Amino acid sequence: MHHPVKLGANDVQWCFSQVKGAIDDDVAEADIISTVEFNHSGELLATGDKGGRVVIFQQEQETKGQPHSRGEYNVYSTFQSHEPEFDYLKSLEIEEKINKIRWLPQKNAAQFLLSTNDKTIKLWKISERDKRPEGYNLKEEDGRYRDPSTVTTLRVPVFRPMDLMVEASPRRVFANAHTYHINSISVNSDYETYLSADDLRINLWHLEITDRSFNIVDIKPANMEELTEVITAAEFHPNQCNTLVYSSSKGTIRLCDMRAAALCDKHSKLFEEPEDPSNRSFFSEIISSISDVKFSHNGRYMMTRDYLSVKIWDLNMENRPVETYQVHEYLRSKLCSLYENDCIFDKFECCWNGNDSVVMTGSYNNFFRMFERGHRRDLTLEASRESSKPRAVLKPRKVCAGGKRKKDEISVDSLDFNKKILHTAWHPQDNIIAVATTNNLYIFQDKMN
Amino acid sequence: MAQRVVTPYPATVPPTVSDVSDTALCSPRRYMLGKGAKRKHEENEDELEGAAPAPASGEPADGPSKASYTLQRQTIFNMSLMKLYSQRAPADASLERRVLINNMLRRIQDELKQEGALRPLLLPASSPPEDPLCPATATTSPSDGTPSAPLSTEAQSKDKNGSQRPGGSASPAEERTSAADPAPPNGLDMSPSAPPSSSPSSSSGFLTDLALDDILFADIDTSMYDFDPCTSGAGAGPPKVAPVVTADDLVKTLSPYSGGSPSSGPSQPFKMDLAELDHIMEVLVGS
Repeated sequence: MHHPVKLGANDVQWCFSQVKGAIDDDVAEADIISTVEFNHSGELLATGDKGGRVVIFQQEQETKGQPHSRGEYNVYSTFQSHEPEFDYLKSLEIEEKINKIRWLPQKNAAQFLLSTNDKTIKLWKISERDKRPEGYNLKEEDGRYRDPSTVTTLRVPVFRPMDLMVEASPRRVFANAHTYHINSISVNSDYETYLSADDLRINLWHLEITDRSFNIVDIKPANMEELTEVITAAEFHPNQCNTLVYSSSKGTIRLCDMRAAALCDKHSKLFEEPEDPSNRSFFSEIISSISDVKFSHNGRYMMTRDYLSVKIWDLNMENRPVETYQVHEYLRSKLCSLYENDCIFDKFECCWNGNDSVVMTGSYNNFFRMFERGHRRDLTLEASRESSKPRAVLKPRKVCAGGKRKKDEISVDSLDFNKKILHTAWHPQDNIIAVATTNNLYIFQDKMN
Repeated sequence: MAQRVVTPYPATVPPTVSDVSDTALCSPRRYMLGKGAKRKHEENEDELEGAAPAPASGEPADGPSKASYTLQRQTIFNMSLMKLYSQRAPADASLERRVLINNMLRRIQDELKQEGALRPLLLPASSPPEDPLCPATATTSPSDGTPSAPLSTEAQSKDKNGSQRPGGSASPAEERTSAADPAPPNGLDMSPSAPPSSSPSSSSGFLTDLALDDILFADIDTSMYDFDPCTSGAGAGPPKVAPVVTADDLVKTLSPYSGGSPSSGPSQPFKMDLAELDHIMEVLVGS
């Protein structure tokens, strides 16, 4: 059941629900959250971190005692997905940081997800065990083997209940297919195949087959010195299993049809907006680099995130987006400084809500932004410990770009550029959002009246 | 032999990246390479930040905005060099970031070339400056008037890079004039490459490093060891030689470039850039 979203300032709806992670300001590098993803039902919420761990939270069933809030998310499973490795040929360390997690749709009692670091994708099975067999003939209850000569009667082992145990086991390891760093994985709507994309190539895998993959996009030039463009993100269409898109560092998105050819180097559609000459600067190319691309749930639109804006494209119109939302336009005059401190290379993600009416993305100072498409309204909120009282309504934030700063506004120069929200996720059906600061995961939900 | 009088710049030392990362938003004032005139902070910001967009064609009409544009361009060029060539752990450097920074460098270099500001006096440290210089300057000699101002800015700023090293700087201008070789006695002796053989040992040491360093993409691209089963087609092709830049390569790039016509073609823009960047790095690392 979907609640209509109200974003207006007068009827602020978003409330703090929970925060996960260490409280102290000393951030351990391994705890830095690197990806956040709800599963298809929204019951499970997975995070990956720089230390290669995956933590899965499960939503409690709604209790009769608290009809005005949805179930809380509690830790369901934690496991080490990837370990650091060393590439002996290139003398390089391979980071264990989890770049992306993607859930598979649930087919049986177990849950499956794909997690990837720079080089290797793994398929994990997460299953529950709440019964165990008891009454073996040849083993004692503690596992010791009985002397067969002492067995005088036979019995049939029976299953007895036990405390719930959640096990995660790696079912497939998809390795050695990427020379460059993997930035995206995407499960196809056929639920049999998935793609993995690195800076220069996109490979197609079958979930059952680990020893080979098909290369479907390759933009590596014959001479690496001519390299001027890389792949930044890729995704399969949610309904059409033959369609995928990939974005580039030059601000273009290419839509490919796998039916056309085995190698999708020739795009079916090229989405690119001509540059606005009045905004042209030295940094135009860098800020046009697309950091994330996401199809809408209905498959009619796709959203791209570049450094300063979010754009929504109609798949039938290639020459410009249908909607553009400025995330933090006040940074346009600061690009030189942001280039110097490397913030201009930060990769922000974006996401749709369940019915594609609102989009969300992160910014600096632990701000995140929502854009309501139909009513053209936008909202800035902050994920901070200060506004972390249970069910406290979040106060809208505003950044003062110049001139006189009003009360409660924050000036651009006092923004903390070390506090960046790169990863956000929206529950597939309800108004529950997960927002990752550097090492904390905030869960907000709308106020249920 | 006429020696060009070099106007010293104030010896401000721009901060290293680590300095700046402490502040939430670094003040652009730190990058001012201005001529010492005091200006208000807001004006400085406008000067250096996006107020002067890259013009679609030609140069800005009026003097002050062209100077600020040139200043901004030089600052960004220096920053980009530092980003690419500072000793960072390889794991840090994403390919996308390096590609974008390299594109920035190329764009600025192309602009400079178009403006005729960058003289093709590119020399490996070990070879004498005389012979390649003369034909170079003879064949590529636009009028001296217009480029001189931005060129001297650039030349000074490149020295400023040299003074970025910790341990500060003697007046960079003094360094240059004392190290300056007798440049060919024509109007083009204001090139930044004037003192190439001032410190042959350290420069050739740098070249050796350059050869081994596999700058930019070569350290990621394992064309020699490419095990990618998806793209190698039916069986492995002949092993490709990993790109290594040697002094010979640099010398080879001289002839097409100094001849005025880029006959090396689009397949070797990197090597040409490399030679130019090499010289700039000489100024940073050498002497």
